[in-house]
Amino acid sequence: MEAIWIYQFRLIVIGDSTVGKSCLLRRFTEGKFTDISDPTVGVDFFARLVEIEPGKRIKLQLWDTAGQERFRSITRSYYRNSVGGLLVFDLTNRRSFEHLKDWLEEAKMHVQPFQIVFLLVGHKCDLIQLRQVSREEAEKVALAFGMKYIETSAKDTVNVEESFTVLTRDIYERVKRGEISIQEDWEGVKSGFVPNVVHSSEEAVKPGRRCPC
Amino acid sequence: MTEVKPPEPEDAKVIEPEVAKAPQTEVGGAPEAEEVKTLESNGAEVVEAGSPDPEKAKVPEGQDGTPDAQEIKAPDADIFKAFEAEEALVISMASSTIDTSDALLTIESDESPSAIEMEEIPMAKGSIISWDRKGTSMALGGLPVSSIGTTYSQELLDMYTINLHRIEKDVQRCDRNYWYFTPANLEKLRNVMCSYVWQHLEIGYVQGMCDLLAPLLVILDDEAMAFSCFTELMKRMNQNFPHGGAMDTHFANMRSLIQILDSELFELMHQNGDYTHFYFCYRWFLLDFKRELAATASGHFVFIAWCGETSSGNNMDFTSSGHFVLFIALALVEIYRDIILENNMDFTDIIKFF
Repeated sequence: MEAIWIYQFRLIVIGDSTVGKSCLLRRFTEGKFTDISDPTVGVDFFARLVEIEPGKRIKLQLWDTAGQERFRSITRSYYRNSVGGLLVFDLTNRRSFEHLKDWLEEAKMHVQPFQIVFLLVGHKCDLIQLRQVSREEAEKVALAFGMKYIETSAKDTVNVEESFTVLTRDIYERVKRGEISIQEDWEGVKSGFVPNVVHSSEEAVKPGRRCPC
Repeated sequence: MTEVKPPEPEDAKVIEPEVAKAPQTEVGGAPEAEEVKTLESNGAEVVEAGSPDPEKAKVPEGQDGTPDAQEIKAPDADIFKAFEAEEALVISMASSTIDTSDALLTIESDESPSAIEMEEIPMAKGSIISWDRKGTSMALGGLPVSSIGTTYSQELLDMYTINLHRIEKDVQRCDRNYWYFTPANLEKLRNVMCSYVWQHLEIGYVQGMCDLLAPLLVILDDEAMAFSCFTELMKRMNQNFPHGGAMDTHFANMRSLIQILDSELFELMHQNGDYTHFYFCYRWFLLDFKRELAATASGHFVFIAWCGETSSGNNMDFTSSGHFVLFIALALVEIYRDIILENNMDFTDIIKFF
């Protein structure tokens, strides 16, 4: 728990139901995979630390959302406080791919006045036989949306780690460039836990205070 | 098929959606007390429910691959009356020997269930609707006529079809790790849910409903009983779903409770990236702690107690408060309060507990 992190990002995972949002998150945070998982109702949460550069860790607060449109009124309110998002579709389900623009519109509409950095994720790439969306097609869409694209499989652990790291690094770069800044009453980016900040000045000057462990 | 011809009235009731799809138009006798029986209680029924080829079981007899206006009789408000009709069962049973026609097979290959994920998707195409749920075929030519002669609008039927897809998606993944949910019992879950949703189309199916129904079915092991109890339970639970709007009240109540009863914890929650939104309690309230507790014996107990409360008023001492859920939620939070405080935890840190 005492791991030091420089920033905390809140990321949201969206997409049609059964595209594998929760499985992706569970693989990423717990390293587990189950063939069948309960549908997410409303919202669910995950967390993990990611090291983007040696010694530089970012804490990810991950919001998993219900894919069913009946929960849209709930999930809508989560966009505003997210700095990044994984826009997930199922490579074996063309409809989930066609719905991407609806998801994006929905997100754009409710994120104001902030912005979300998205990564397009084609999930279930292990099911080669059942594939309904080609990589070229997905890349084209990603380009049009202005986001990066990655194909993942939670089942075979393909690109799961990468997808989150790519997005995190992307956001981190923008924060460094000042395109995204920490703001009061915005949960998207929080500045991290830096040990010497919490010490009082007199403690800080004490020699040998630093623990080598 | 004549040997299955004399079905008892009680059996007629447990095959709700099948009956619903059978082209029968008669309305039978009044419900009887012994109507509550399980599917297994009748050998003939088992053939229907667990048939290796349910496709066949669901094609109405008289139709021989020529869909007509009566091919679907969707369940209606008088669904239970229809269930009494012996003909319904007879036809349903008899039909298990009929081969699925080519015509039906071709229209069965609808797009994947998720096709109708977003509301703005056009409803159904033309006058043909099909719902492929492991072989249950629905085909429409013209508007179907109910048992009482009502004609259903295309709009209504389209709406129901969308709901059937949604139900199917969730039935397939509801509590699958629990021993009870074999394919045959999942079929029961589906039957009850389809019947409920038909009677509450204005609400429709919302994810989470299967979670609430599942424990009832496990405990009662009877479709009709589970249906009745679920209907009662939903009168209380509906308000927690997105269309009900009670969730914000729950969150507000949680906020007040913790602020009053554990101000130290409240302060921390408020400071550390403010998680007094209490979103982490969402599922608790929506599903009555089902995913948190149902797997345990005490969970079952709690669930039964609440069902009792729902159906018979507050006549149980331990459920004397209408806000009982709040105190369970509070207790769950309090389990970890020392750890949370000691470690000065923020929202990201507490996620692992809840």
